[in-house]
This record gives sequence, structure tokens and C-alpha cells, in this order.
Amino acid sequence: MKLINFKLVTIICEPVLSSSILTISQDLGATGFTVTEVRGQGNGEKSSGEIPDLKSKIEIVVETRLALKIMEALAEKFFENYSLITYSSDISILRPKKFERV
Amino acid sequence: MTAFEILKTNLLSPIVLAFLLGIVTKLLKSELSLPKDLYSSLSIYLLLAIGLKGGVELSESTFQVIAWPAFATVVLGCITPISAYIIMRKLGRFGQIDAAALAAHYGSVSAVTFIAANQFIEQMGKTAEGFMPTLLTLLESPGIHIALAIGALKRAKNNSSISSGDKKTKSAIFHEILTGRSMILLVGGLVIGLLMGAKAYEPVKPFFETGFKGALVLFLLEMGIVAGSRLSDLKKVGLPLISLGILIPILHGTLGVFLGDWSGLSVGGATVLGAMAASASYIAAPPAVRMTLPEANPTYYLTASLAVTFPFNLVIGIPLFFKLAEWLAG
Repeated sequence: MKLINFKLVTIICEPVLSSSILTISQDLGATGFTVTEVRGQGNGEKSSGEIPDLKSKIEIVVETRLALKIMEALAEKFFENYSLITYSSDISILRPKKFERV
Repeated sequence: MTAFEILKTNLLSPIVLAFLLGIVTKLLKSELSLPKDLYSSLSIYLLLAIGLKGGVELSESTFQVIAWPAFATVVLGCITPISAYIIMRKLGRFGQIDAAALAAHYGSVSAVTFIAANQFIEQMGKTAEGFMPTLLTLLESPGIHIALAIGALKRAKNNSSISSGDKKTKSAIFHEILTGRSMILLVGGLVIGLLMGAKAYEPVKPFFETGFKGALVLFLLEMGIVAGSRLSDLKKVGLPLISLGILIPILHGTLGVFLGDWSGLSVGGATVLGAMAASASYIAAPPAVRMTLPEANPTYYLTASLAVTFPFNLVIGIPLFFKLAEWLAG
């Protein structure tokens, strides 16, 4: 079996954004996602406005090209007014077909 | 009972003491906090319990009895977001967006304040009308919508290049408010209670009523911890907002008691309506505001509703509205 290079896009955001972020990434072509509830603190002035104060961590496995597209879209839409961070990391996967839109 | 005795009785009630313990816990920098899942479970239990009980009592009320109080509640729901907006703009000198965000909180209701007011009048040997939970659901959504509409209008005016995505957001917010946890549980509970009636309620009654007050004490402990963690933000929001966080509940609460009395509610009912009008939402409003008015600073509205208005109503506001309702009723 051969390992294929892919990207893991991670977004840590206020929970209120989760559903919009998932919609945006799927509209752009992502096929799946994983969401976990996490706790943490950044340097942002604006807190998440949720009680208890939790954050959502969204993980999306995509091709390099799509990773950048998703991150750019999120940056444009949310960076100004919301607290979130997004980063991508290199990962290796076995079945690239699984992440293709049918 | 004198005003002082009423305040003392209220201050020494288990829910107020539990709330204060929560604040002290935070001041002592203790690690204590309720597990998140327990907090969610307790709020589900409390909201469904109010809904069910309210629904059963609604099944025994007639339309004539509810009509005027319901009308008064809707009027109240339309006035409070506008008055809160004007006060925040004129007295607080907040920007349009921040004022609208704050108005959304003061225009809608805190269910915990509603429950606390019910417990308080029970302690005073009074009861409120059984259909009060129905009024609670009526008061919840107009407030948020009106204030958010003001904010959205101002935003559109300031920024002509609003994207077409905003329409989508608006329907998403409408969906969120109507299908939010508290609305589903309250309205769902009311409908179930209404349909099943008193006889079918009997078997589940012990579960929902015996544990209610105990659950409320635990919930208020967590509320105290959450409010306590916001105390450090009081410095950030400044004296004007703190003062308005007390002035607005007094004004809205007084209006609520007057309208309650005018519409024929009992002393207990008028007190609860006053407390509802005086309260500021901190469960339904924050996410809705965050989505529609992202430029508004959450520190303002969360601190004002949680660390100023909620404690004020719990300790002083509710007894004050009770005294006023008693005085009005002669």
C-alpha cells in the first residue's frame, strides 16, 4: 500500500460558528469532518459568548489545494469579528478516493 | 412583612445562598465547577419540569383568563427591547451595534430568574397563575427579534455592501431561536402537559416536582460560578454599564408589575411578570447576537446580564417587584 500526502485542516472556534464553518467547507468540496468540544484560551479579547465557555475543534481531511481554499474562505468571513484559529498540517492517508466528491 | 424582613428571607433562601457560594468559590480561585453534562442535564430537567407543570395548569385555565395577561406580555415584549436600546444609546452612550446587542438581552427573558421569582413568591405564601410559563414563552422571542432587527438595520445603513448571505443568516437565527433548547423544552413541555392533563401527569409528577428545588440549588451554584468568573470583567465594562444593568431591570420590572396588575394578574403573577421583564437572557440571546451582530462586544452583554442584572434581580429586584405588586393590589 502507498501513502498519499494530504492535509488536515484544523479550526478551533467559538461553538456558534461550527455549523457555518461546516457548511462552507462542504460547499467548497470537503467530504467529511470531525468535531470535538475543547477548552482553551487564546489572546483574543472577544470571548465565545457561550456558557460554559467551551470551544469547538473542527478537523477536515482534504487535498492541499482545497485546504488553502477553505482556510482562505474562513479567514475572509470570520477573522475580523470572531475568535477562531485555523491551521493545516501534513498527513498521510491510504484511500484518497474516500475524500473525493462523488 | 417589612421590606427588610422580605430581603432577609430572600437572602437566606437556599437558591440565593447557593448562588453566593458559587461566586465565593470563584473569588477563592477554587477549581470547583459543575461538569458540563450535569449543567446541561439540570437545565433540561428544570425547563421541562416548568413546561409540563405549566401545560397541565394551562389545561385547566380558560381563554378569558389568559387573554389579557397574554396581551400585556406581548406588549411588554415589544416595549422592552426598544426602551433598552434607547437607554443604552442615550444614557450609556453605546454605539448602535453594542446597544442593539444589549437590547436583545434585556428584551428577552432569563428562565432562571423566572423560576427564582416563582420560588420567592411561594416563600412569601403567594402563588402565581398556573399559566405563567406560557407567558414566559410569549415574552422570549419578540424581544430578541426586535433588538436584532434594529441592529441589522443600523448595520445595513452603515455598510451598504452587506453580502447576500445575510438573508440566509437571518433565517438561521430565526430557526435557532425557535428551536433552541429552552424553547423546545418549554413549548414542548407545555404542549405535552396541555394534552395529557392533570390525571396523566400524576405518575411523573413526583420526579419533576420533588427534586425540582434541589436541582435548582445545584444549578444556581453553577450560575454563581459562571457569574463569579465574569466579575473581573466588571472593570472592563465600566460604571455606566453596571448602573444601567441595575436601572433597566428596575424600569422594566416596574412596567411588568404595572401591566401584570392591569391585566388582572394576582400579586404573585404580577411579581413574576415583573421579574421576567426585568431579566436579561443569557442562554438564548448570546449565540443569536453573536451570529447577527458579530461586531458587538460580547464582554458588554455577557457581563451585564450575568454579573450585574441576574444577581441584582435575584437578591433585590424580585423582592422589590413583590413589594410593588402588593402595594398596587392594595
